[in-house]
Amino acid sequence: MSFHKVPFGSFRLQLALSGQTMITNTQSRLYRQALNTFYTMPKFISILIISLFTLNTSVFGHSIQVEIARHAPVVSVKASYSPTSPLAGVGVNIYAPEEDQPYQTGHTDRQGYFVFHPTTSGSWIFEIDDQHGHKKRTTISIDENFIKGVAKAQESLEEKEEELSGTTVKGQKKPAVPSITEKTTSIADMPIIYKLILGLALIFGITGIYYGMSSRKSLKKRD
Amino acid sequence: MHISDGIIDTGICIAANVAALGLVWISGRKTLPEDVPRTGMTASALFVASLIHFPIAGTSVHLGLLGVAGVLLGRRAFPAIFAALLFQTLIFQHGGLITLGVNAINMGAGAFLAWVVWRIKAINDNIRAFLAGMVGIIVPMLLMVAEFRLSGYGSRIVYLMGVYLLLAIIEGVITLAAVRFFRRVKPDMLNLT
Repeated sequence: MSFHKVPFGSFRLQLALSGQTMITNTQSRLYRQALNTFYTMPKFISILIISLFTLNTSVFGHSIQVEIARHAPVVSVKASYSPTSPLAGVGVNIYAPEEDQPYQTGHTDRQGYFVFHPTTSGSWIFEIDDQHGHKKRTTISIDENFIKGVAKAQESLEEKEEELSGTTVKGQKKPAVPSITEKTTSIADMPIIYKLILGLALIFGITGIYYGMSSRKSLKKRD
Repeated sequence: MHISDGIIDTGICIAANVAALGLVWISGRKTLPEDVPRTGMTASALFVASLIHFPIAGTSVHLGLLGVAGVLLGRRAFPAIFAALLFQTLIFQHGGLITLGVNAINMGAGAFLAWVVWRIKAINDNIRAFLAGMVGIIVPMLLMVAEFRLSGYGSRIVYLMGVYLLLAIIEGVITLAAVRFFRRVKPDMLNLT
């Protein structure tokens, strides 16, 4: 079978670069099988996702999300699975800096909020556990000014950050989705759709590389 | 259904990680090139599946699609499950790297037993698919509960078994839908295990 009948651009390029003008039966079979798989599964995945979307719009997201709000001298933490499912009535442990035993234990309220009042500066730990496999530990840094109830120290820090990133207009609301120019330093801060694309890209990429390597090996064997 | 870090004894977790890597090697060893795209696509489906969650009874459980993985990949399901879990941990912070082995073995057992159920040709096709889907949730759930009780964790977990049974029924329906979809669109995919 001549390679003009092969529609995939990159596959044709690969063949051309290796000097082949005809593809062998094995290559043709492998290629057709790969194509069939790639065309069938995405249909199934997309049908699944669309049907679930119609049932529940907050369908994405599952691990525990923690939002920390500092209202000096008190810290308020909201725990949820997704914006519409708060972790209500779930056990919380607060650990003071450098301590092994919990400083405070309690449960979140109906909206998933838990409030505590740190009295020493350092790294406090907020730990939440829903007793069925999901546990999250978050570190909350507290400085001296926070304990004194001085909210201004936090504000001046924010002003400095805005100056550094170039937005000098005060009082303007930050966009809800982190834009590419902001310092999103970790994967955790990315919006979920970017994370999804990243993960799928990684899986497809690694699969493709592995597929190419094992095809080449099996073709060499048959020659 | 992922177990987070810090719940199960670390020594056990490390042993499970080593065992899981061994299982990836054993089940991936004789993979033919034509199996690879299917494995990759199933890994993608598993990866996406854990995002789709159902808030039931105050907690939230998510899809596993382990029945589908067992039916499509059979003995080769373990590398796909391991890869999906690895990326879920790295990218979604869902589960943990220390407990990766434990989670992979739990789910791998579910997919394997789902495959065993699927292979019982004596039962009607549709019932086979539904049962495979249910087994894919029930087996990992039982393993997880056993692990929790041995670690002295999760006093509430027994009450959540009812929620997981509900999820098992949903998964059974999804696996049935998947099998019927593949039978109509590409029947070869079902006969390769």
